[in-house]
Amino acid sequence: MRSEDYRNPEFYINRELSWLEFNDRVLDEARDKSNPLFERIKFLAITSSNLDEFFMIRAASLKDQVKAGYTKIDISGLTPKQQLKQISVRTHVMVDKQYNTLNRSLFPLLGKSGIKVLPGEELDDSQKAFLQDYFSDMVYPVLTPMAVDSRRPFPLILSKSLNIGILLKHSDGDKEYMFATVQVPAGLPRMIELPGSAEKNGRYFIFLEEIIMMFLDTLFTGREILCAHPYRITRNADLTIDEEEAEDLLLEIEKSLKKRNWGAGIRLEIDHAVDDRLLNVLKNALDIHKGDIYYIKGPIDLTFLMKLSSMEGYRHLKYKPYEPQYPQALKGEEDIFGAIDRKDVFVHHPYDSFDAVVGFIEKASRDPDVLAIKQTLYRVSGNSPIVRALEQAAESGKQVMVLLEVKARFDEERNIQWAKRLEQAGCHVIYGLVGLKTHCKITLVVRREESGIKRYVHLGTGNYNDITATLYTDMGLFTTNEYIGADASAVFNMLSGYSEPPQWYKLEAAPVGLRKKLLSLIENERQNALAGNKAVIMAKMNSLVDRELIAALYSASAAGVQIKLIVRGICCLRPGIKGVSENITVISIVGRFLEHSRVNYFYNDGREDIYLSSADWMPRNLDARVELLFPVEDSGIKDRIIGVLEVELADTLKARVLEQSGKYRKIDRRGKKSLDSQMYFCKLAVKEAKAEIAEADFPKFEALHLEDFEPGV
Amino acid sequence: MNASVKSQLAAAIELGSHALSMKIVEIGKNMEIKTLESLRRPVDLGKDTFATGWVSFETLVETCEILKGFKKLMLDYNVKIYRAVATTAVREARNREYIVDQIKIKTGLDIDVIDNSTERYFAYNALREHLPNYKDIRKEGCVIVDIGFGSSQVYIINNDRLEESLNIKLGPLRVREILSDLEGRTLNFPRVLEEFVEGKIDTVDYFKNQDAIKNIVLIGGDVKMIGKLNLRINRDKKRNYIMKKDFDGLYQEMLYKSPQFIMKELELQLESAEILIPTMMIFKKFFDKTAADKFYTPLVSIMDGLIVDICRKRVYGEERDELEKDALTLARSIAAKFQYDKAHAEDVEEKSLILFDETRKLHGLGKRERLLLQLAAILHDSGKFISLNEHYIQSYNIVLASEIPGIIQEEQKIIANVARYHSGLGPEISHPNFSSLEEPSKLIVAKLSAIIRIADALDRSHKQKISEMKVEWESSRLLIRVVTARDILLEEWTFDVKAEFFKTVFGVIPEIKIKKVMTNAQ
Repeated sequence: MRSEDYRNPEFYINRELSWLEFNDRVLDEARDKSNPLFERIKFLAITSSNLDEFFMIRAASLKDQVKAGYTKIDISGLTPKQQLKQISVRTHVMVDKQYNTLNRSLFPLLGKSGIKVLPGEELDDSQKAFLQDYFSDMVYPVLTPMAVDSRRPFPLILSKSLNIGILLKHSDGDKEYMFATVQVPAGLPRMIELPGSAEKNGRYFIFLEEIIMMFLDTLFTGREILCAHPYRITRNADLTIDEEEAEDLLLEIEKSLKKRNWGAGIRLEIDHAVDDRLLNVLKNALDIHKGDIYYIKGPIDLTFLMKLSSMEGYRHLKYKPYEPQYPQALKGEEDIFGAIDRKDVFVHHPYDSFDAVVGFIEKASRDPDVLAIKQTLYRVSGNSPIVRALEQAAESGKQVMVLLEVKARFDEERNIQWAKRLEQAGCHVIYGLVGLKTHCKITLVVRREESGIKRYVHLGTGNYNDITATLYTDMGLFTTNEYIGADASAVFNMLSGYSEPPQWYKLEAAPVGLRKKLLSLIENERQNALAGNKAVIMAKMNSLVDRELIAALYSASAAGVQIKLIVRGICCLRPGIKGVSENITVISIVGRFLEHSRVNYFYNDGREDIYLSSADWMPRNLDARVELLFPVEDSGIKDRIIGVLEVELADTLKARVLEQSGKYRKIDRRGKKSLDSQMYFCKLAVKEAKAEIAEADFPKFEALHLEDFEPGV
Repeated sequence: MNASVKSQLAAAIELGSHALSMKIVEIGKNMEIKTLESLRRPVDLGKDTFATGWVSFETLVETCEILKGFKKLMLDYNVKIYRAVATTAVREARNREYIVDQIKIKTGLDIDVIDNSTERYFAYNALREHLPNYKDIRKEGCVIVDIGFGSSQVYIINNDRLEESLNIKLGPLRVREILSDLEGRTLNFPRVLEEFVEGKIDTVDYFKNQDAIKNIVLIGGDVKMIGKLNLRINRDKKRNYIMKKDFDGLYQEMLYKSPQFIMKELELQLESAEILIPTMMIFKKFFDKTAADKFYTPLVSIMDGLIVDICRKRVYGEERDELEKDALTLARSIAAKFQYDKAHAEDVEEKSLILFDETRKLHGLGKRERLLLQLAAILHDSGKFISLNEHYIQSYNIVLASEIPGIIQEEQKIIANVARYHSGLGPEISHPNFSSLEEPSKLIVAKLSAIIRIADALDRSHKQKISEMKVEWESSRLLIRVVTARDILLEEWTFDVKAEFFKTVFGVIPEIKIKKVMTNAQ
């Protein structure tokens, strides 16, 4: 088959539909009875916020394309219009599944656990009295009802805000009714706890919108209310900035943030029992297509479940807490620099504690021999110890350069605050290259030692965020390798704009060379297969979208390369096609932790090359971002990473297999040991931490055998 | 270097025609140089200068911004020692003083504007540290070809001595430009190019007479291009040389290809791709004249030369650097070419230096001027080869026409003027050769001429009659005590004549004190 034949649209899965399948796998976790109740609630909340983002970005962009008359087909052969249609069909099924899960499983189970959500009509008198006070003291003052008539146009409804649409009987004139709307205040809790009563045990809650609807007549005194229903609109949030024109990126983003709420409407969620007349008013005013209306059987916007799941006092309904283990190689090390200098140190989060990374930066900020610290920050936690360490370092006279990516989607506002703080402390804050998001995760510490200048580098697959590091699986490497050190310096010189990219020694960087490097590694494997040698590729990533790389994988598969992929989210590669992808298997792991590490393994005639990366195999990562790919050369660490891939590929509980159809199925467990890879790694880390180890060396991966494993921690 | 001192950090900055570059290095105890940072940021200073004669305000602002970044990086390492130089683009800009001043004000960096020969010499100067077997090939004999954009510099070294340093107006850019008219008129443009290059190179005497040289080294203005050439030929093998057969193979392969093709094939920028074939062609012509089966590609840049320079002078405090040694050997080989009176020249050289060293409080000049005096002394009589009449004028012309490595243009003029005024009339403002000097240079020429005239007078007969010379101060009298076994009336008389000019310059009249000794030889 010629290489362009691998571009046949039939061989590809549409990325939006693939993403929806991913969200469906998260939803399956909400339905999985073996997960603790509060975790199931959390998963459901995640599916809801995921969908919000999906609509705001992906669906919105397709809408824009349709509006612009753009009809170009995607890699799977669908026009924007066709994609939107299929998205709508798939999402409607999914939303039904969400609310079935909530209404039939989760609410009843919550009730059994003593948490009840009451509809208005089931309140007793004391609860009603409480709500009367609550409404007049807390809610009423912040409500702004708005009526629409000839003199008052339809108001701008804030994207993602919950509102109540009301029809009022018209007092005079020829019209039958008039429309009014009131926003459910975002500043108040969505669920209000009611005082208990003698005959009722447990805790009782009511939704804020229910309370408002109970007291609606106080807002429209003297008017007859025909009907009232909650609704929610989602708007286009894709923020594009004209950077060439933007003198100051920071200002530009601040401006754009203010604009974000006013994009075009792309989805309307509305109470399933809505009055037709009310629906018509909204449909016309918001210019919503009927395929974009979702009739909701329950509370609109399930993100409130996130708050619910974090309620105190229900530990028995959550995962047993997992305490990340301090990495063996650094444990008890007074001199973290010395340890790294002796031997590269590998960390696998969240099994290994992120404290090692924070500790490294904190140590560097205090160490008198450290001259400079340079770091990229993409998403920072609310009260980041890393940022504090960097501030401290700058205040104590060290040279600190921070690349803060202010364009990190949805974190822009927070990142601008951090930028200002860091600058005040004396850090040199840079904002990255025009047109390219800086997505690589790299820290460079320059230290003046007895023997001369030494560079300590940390490279990672995940953000420098101490909070997400307990939830995301990521890998990191500490090294003093001279070549990587020189490359690390060059990365920062490139990011600061003081230099063009050099000839790299060890690293590869997007947007220039990373794609090429991956292609050449795949090609090399293909050549080996053609020569009749063993050829294997294992790769783990969040998303696989890039057509060029997928085509290269097809070509390698056709040549006989065995390809095993672990793709958590979107996967446009269609496995199992005869003559194209029959040697490719794809699994996705969705579990307690968000799979986030990017690992590439090439058998390379027995050399077994391993590269870690910040990049997914997506055009945006490879062409429009600054990303890094770095080799792991220490044989012990290589073995460990290969072990990680093997365990994940053997996962039977949280892994799903991608079928040729684009659907995912659970693993057939017959004849196999049950294995939840994430739980396995937790146990492994704890076991290793407990073990008395004589040598300072990191223990071999084989320390724990798969057979030792019992499901559930 | 003091053994207790740790490694030293130094930076070199170059404001080139196409880019601003910086290297930060760590210099170890044994002079080993480790590159910590290497930056290159394209900025088209040259485009401005070559098109309009000025570096535009916008380009200057951009330059300052980047230099501020460089400065910041120097702070990261707490680098205190640096040298920043600007080459052609700034040198030829009409607002060059303004540029240097603005950079100083905005970044605090002191920029030296260096001339072509210094610029070229820096790359040459870096070879000792960047070509591992450099010492050996210098002994065996080697040709170093430095291909710039507009001209090429060729150094011929034999037995560890720099024997020739030639500047040939043959650079890839110049070749392309001169012949660009022809390009449309012939299908075999490369053949025309080859003939043109051949014609230029065949005039170099050295290649006609000598046995073929065993080693050849390619350095050049477009270091990146040479790097890519090496990468393309040697692939993953990390070598600092290219085999002749590989080079010839690639040359044949690329000869008729378009720059666009070359750009893709070698991953070059278009400007580099366009000059690849002329560069290879020029180099090939030199290559073919040697007996070498490979050539070295040490990838040295001006910055490497700057760093080696810093390393030797400021960190190790080497008294005389390689550069000076090469300048002196080359001056001697030029003088020899003009069949100079070696013994006389050496005598004048020695006496000039004694006078210079002992009259420091009079002239207040430094090491550099001492070198200029020394070079002038070596070359002062070379004009006699052409004409005995007013030979000093011929000497002046010879010095001006020579290529002395590491000597900048103004310095070359000083040497020429000192050679001019070692005899005959002293400097006069009506002489165009003198009046065209920069003001400080005029003073230097006057002082050095005064010294060399005395030294020359003391060997007026070219017979080295004076066996010893000492300079002494007795209160305010300057006494030149000489020891001789022979009759030196001629020297004495000449001395008195030349002492007049010395007095004009320094306000002191030197007095000669003669001590006669009898030797058996007489």
